[in-house]
Amino acid sequence: MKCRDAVHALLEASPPWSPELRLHLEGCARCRSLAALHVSASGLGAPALPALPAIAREGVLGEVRRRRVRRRTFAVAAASLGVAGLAWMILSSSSPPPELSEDRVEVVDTGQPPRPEGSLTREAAVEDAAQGEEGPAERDALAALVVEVRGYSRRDVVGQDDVYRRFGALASWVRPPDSRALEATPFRTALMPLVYLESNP
Amino acid sequence: MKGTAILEESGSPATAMAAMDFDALLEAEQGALLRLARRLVWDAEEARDLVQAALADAYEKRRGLRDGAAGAAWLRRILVSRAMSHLRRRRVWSALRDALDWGPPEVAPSAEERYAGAQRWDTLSRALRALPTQQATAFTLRYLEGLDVDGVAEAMGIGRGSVRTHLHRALTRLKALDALVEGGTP
Repeated sequence: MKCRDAVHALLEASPPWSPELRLHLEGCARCRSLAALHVSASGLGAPALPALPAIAREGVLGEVRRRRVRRRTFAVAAASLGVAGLAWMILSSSSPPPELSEDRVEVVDTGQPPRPEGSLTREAAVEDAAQGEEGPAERDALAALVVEVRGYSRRDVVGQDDVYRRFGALASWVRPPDSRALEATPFRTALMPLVYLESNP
Repeated sequence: MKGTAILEESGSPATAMAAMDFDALLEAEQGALLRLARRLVWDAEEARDLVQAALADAYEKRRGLRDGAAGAAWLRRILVSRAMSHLRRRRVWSALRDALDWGPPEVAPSAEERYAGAQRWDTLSRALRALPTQQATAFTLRYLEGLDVDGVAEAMGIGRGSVRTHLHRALTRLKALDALVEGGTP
């Protein structure tokens, strides 16, 4: 009998040991020590302890109820958080760009009567349109600016852009990321007079 | 059965029978569960809390019990699982307390230790708390609760080989801690 088998056998049994195990224990001090510990532990028995008061069925059912309440509370809190997060995402993505107000316009005191040139407020654009003098110039400037920015930020890399045409099908791998400059709030705000003028010629 | 009926979702005969079986099981096994819990955690209050939590677990899972005759072993397994989780948490807190140098844990002897009085139980219970959870649980179930290796394996939800390994290591470790000597306890 090997030590491993002897350990298995003595942990599962109590004295008197089988003859085979006894023979092994006589020749193996280590297993003999373990067998002595096993016998010692087996003789421990259970400590005599005073009886505990019984747990009432109502106590168990009360614990079950508390757990259910905790679970429901947690579920409601989680659902509320989810709904609130969803609402926040929807509202934040659909909020309109901030209105341009007068207090955001830088007023430069030149000693002359204020004129709307260079101003991008709606009132200035309306005044330009009414006067019919510098409105078209500003309109042309803004249109040129749109084309220029689009030229920097929007490239049809495969079909039209000469810079990337030489790469062929690989053009889409080497092109720079698209710019969203035209959709940026400051730029859209700046375009407001132009849009207004185009819609109210 | 009034208290049980409050929580029943339906009043079908099968449900009522399940509730009745559970109540009978609770009455029949509660004493053994309390004794086992005390031997596992060595604290009366913790043992009561554990048994109550285990019974609540059992109540919630009672429909999964197919064989009513296996109810005692089923309850014992739930309790042992709860107790092992409790012992693991206690070991983590103890280690954390040591690491943060918050001072020693409750050094005052528990009610069990005061009642048992004998130095050997005091030494053994402290040594068992120092053992890894699975070793302490296997030792308690095998030598204090008197289960055989199969019963220990069933209660702990592990294999016989693992039980033997835990027992072997527990015996060796308890000897090293002077809580167990060859031929008797110190």
